[in-house]
Amino acid sequence: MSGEETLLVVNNVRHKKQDGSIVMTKTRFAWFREGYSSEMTVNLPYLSIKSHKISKEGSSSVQMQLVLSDSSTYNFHYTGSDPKKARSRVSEQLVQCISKANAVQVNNPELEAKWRLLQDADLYTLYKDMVVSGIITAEEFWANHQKSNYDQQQRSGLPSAFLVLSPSHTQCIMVTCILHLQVDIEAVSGCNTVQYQLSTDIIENIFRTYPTVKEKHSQLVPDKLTEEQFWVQFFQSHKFHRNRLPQSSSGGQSSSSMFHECIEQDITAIKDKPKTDDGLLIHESDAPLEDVILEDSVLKVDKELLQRCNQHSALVLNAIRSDEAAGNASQTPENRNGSSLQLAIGPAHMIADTPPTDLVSLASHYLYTASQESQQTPVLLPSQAQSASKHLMVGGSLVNMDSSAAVSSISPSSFESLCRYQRSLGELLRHFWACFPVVNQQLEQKVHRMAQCIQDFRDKQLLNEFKLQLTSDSEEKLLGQLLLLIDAAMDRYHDWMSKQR
Amino acid sequence: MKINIDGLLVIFPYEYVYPEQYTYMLDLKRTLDAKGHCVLEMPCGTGKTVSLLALIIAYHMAHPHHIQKLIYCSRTVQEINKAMSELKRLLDAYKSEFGSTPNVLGVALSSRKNLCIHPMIAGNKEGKLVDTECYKLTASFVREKHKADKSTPVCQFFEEFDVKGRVDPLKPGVYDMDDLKSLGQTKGWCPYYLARYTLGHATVIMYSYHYLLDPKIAEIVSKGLPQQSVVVFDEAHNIDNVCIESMSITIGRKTLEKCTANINNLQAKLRELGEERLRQEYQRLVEGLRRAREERENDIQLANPVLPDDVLQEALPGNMRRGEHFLLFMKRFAEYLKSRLLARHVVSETPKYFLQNIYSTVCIDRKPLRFCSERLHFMLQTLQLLELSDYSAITKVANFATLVSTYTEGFSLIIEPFDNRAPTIFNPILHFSCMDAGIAIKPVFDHYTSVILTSATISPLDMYPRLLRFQPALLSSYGISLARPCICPIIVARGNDQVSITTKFEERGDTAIIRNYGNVVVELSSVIPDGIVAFFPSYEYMEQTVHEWVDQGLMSKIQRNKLVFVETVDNAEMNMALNNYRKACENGRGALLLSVVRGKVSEGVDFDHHYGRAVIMIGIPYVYTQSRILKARLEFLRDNFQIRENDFLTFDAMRNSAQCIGRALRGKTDYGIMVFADKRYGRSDKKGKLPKWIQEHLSDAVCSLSIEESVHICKRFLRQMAQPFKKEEQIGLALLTLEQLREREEKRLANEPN
Repeated sequence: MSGEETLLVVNNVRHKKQDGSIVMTKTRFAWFREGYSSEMTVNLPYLSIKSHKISKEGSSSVQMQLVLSDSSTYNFHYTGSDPKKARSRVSEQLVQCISKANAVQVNNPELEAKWRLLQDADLYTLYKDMVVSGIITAEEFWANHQKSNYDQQQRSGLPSAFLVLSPSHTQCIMVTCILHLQVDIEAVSGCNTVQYQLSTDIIENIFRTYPTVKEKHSQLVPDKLTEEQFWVQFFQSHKFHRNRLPQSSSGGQSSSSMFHECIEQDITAIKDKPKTDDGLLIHESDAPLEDVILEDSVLKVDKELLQRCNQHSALVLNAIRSDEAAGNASQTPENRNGSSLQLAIGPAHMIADTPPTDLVSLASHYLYTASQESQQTPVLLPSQAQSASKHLMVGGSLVNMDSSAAVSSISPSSFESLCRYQRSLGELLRHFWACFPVVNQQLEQKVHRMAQCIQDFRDKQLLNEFKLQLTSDSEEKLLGQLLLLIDAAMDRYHDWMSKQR
Repeated sequence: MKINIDGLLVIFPYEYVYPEQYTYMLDLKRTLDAKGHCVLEMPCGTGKTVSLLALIIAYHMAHPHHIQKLIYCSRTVQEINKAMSELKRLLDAYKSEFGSTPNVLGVALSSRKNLCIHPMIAGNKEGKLVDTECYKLTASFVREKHKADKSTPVCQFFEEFDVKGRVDPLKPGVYDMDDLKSLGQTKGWCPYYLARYTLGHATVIMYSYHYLLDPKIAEIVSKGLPQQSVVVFDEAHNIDNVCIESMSITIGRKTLEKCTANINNLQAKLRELGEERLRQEYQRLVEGLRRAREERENDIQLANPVLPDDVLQEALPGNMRRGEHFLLFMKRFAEYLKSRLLARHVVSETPKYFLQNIYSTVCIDRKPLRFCSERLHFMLQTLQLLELSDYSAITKVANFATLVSTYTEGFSLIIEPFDNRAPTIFNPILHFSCMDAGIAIKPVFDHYTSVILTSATISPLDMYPRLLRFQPALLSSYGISLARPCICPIIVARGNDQVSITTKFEERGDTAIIRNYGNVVVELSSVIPDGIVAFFPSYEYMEQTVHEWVDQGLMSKIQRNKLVFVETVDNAEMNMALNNYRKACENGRGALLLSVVRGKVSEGVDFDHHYGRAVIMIGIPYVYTQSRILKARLEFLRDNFQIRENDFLTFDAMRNSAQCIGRALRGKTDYGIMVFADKRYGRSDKKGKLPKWIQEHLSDAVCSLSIEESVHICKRFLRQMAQPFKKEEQIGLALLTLEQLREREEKRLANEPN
């Protein structure tokens, strides 16, 4: 069986009225006909198996059914001397294998994400240049590129009906119940109870929608109230005072008014937000519109209800937005590296328009920190460093020609390869500069490795391959820019080396 | 592109023209040639405004004596701004065509609130407040005081304008409100007065209806516009209501009490005033009102309702020339009204009877009553009062006196001791309501060469000439030429349980019907993406229904699909809800907006594209038929215009539903589902009153659907609409190039005999 380790073999199993045996390996479940051990009649990877069922305890035949994810089924009949034992062995093994296979699959999204990233042609060439040629390790590569994509995972909003769930719905929605609450409706009648099942999801939803409830929760639980009491009160206030006026509800119970306050607070928080005047607002016309709506409407309760509708929706909507905002805020500092790289990747930024300022600032930043680190002998003044590196960049003032002219004077093929080299070099240099300040062993090793790589890159790729392709003066100049960048890095490296000794 | 419309060269600022725009312009040209009035209906998003402007400007260029001015009236500031930008575009097209700017001056006028740039006043939210503040700084007596005593504050912008503005008129071009404001900032001129002054020599004027229709304002602003003007009322489907409102007055007990307080206040002020000033005033009054008015052109703020000319030339009756006499007169009048309001039963009478009654009871003659509002205005001037808004109660009563004695026909006077909604609380109200929309608009029709009423939903067309009492030269409704059927009107007549759904008064409270309405919304919200708007016939019914839905658990089902927002009375809250609705539509969450026909949402807000993929009309929005004012109006219409009650009610209900439904489609690339959820919509008398462009798509197959069937139709429609749609597919069908236009024209000519 193709060299795979066999985990279990069970003989005397009938399938489609033919005798045979089950063989289970690490990755698949198979069944052979008697005497045909070379061909697998049934061959299923564990991933495709959705579930397996077994016949009832008291039934005459001992059978097992496999249900696949496309809902096709396979039936097996155990006919051996102790069929039940055989079946239970298979079942156990199956459960283990399937769960293992699924566990592997959990990691797959990560792979998928990587794969999706590599769809980007530029990134893919970079990957080939860097990782496949062994200049940097795959982990290092992904460490930089993946972060951005991970954080951009879509955040799901809240189901707007999450609080309106009636008890009958709850069963089907929640799978993982962490709390079983009995909410007594004393207000209605003594024997009438409603059972709620709260899941972590729902609690989180409530917290996200009503931030002040969360506050209250952290204040009160578990010092003053138990978890259960807290939620009982919350639902009492929500469910049973929903249709009532705030005054009447706050009359007897202090707890419901507590939540009422909470919600009021949340609502005013939204209201206080600076309003953006957008197109879809009612603009007052010169004369007031006809006021058909009655001033004193019939029932205040109903009005309250309508208001609640709006407020609830607004809060739900707000919960999504505040998440986004928080997500963005937390993302920005980490992602700066990622975004700088994206900028550097775009070929348009290489030569035309602007010098890739992000790389520049990055380089100067490290120069600056380096100079701070060795204050007695500053390598370069930060300002000097910055201006120098600006000049060094392609498209900087050292390239004394019009940027568009620069592009046009280069042949398309060498333009392309120039872009590629620039990208690769940028990546290398970024890794290199990111090592400073060198604080631990690993970084030290990396510095050496990166310096080696950059030298290799210069000798092999730039000076050999690339130089041969160059045809015109301007292209030579551009190559010169790249070399200058490398020189700057090498200077730093040697400087550091000399200090090490 | 240049188009030849019946021999007139029209510069059209776009590359393509819609077929219906072309016919629209043809018809418009004919109307202008005939110097008549017309009613035109064209679907929204098909470029009504630009066709109007293009043709009329072209006509003005060709025949400058025939048409000197275009007065464009619309309902909201936004719409005026939109029209202004179209005009800018048009003039740019002229410029690129002929190389020079055409000699056209376009100006938009709005209230002081929108135009003021005075740092202390601007930014005030309330229009009345701005007006009062402005008056405090610009009234002629304040300015005189300023000349004597420099410490009296005046508005430097107004002063600057007064000195230089009139000498140096605006250059040709288009000035919308922002332009006027920035111009005012740079030159230091008051934009409001600049705009008002510019009205006199501008070619295109854009402002709100009220500047032309409300006699109190029209007299000040729009006086002296030349007869050779074209007046356009855009969004004119509710014009009769605007006319009626501008002439109607409601007085309650509170108003009368305030009025008495005002009178006492004025009496005290009068006593303080010097003998000399009073004598001067008396002299002027003897000479006649007209001349006295002219001296104070700028101050006019709260002017009188429209007065026949002879009144202004006459001298004031002797019994009100002296201030104290006049105030006593007013006091008597107010006391009389108070006594009338004590009645415990409903009174309904004609103005004539009212005048007779007042004469026989308190000996107030008709003639002095007519002068009340003018006399009051004069007194407020003499007293040099700054807080004019404090005297709104007495102004209202004086206006009423003038109106009731001026108009004997077409008005009715109703005194209701109890409000219909709270029949136990004694709260008497006097309604003096205008029933003939023609009264307010008659001067407009008489004065101007051509008046054009146009809207997306102004069906049935023949109703408007009857209501407004004019002879139209042309009535026309245009279909919509579409490359794909992008509207999907359906009539849902019954629920899945075969219970027919309707908001008929007797049946609307039925739980089965409310549940079925809930099911309509639940089912549709599960298949329709983004925004859905549902309109209820009244606010109470909405409250009742939502309550039921919550109790029956339908609301939570809806909330599984959409976020729910509800129209509320409070303006700020409503704006917040709308804003959130918009955001929910934008971030893909999807939302449902429950609102009310005739409410703020139904008139002012567009739900284009994803903001309104579907509009659901819950029931037919009949007006509240038990109201006495409505009853009186229906009676009047029956007796004078031979319009049956039912016809008018249906007409009103249908135009309102068309208006709401029309919110969904705002352009040819847009698409939307229009759900009429009431079995009565299927009847021909209702269906026939919908605009032509909706009727065209309302085949018999979709006139009596159950909820399930309608969901199927929606699904299919949405799938069809989701296919990619390119501009090329539209060309030739919904968009015409110049060549295609010529071809069509030739074909048309060939088909016509001769």
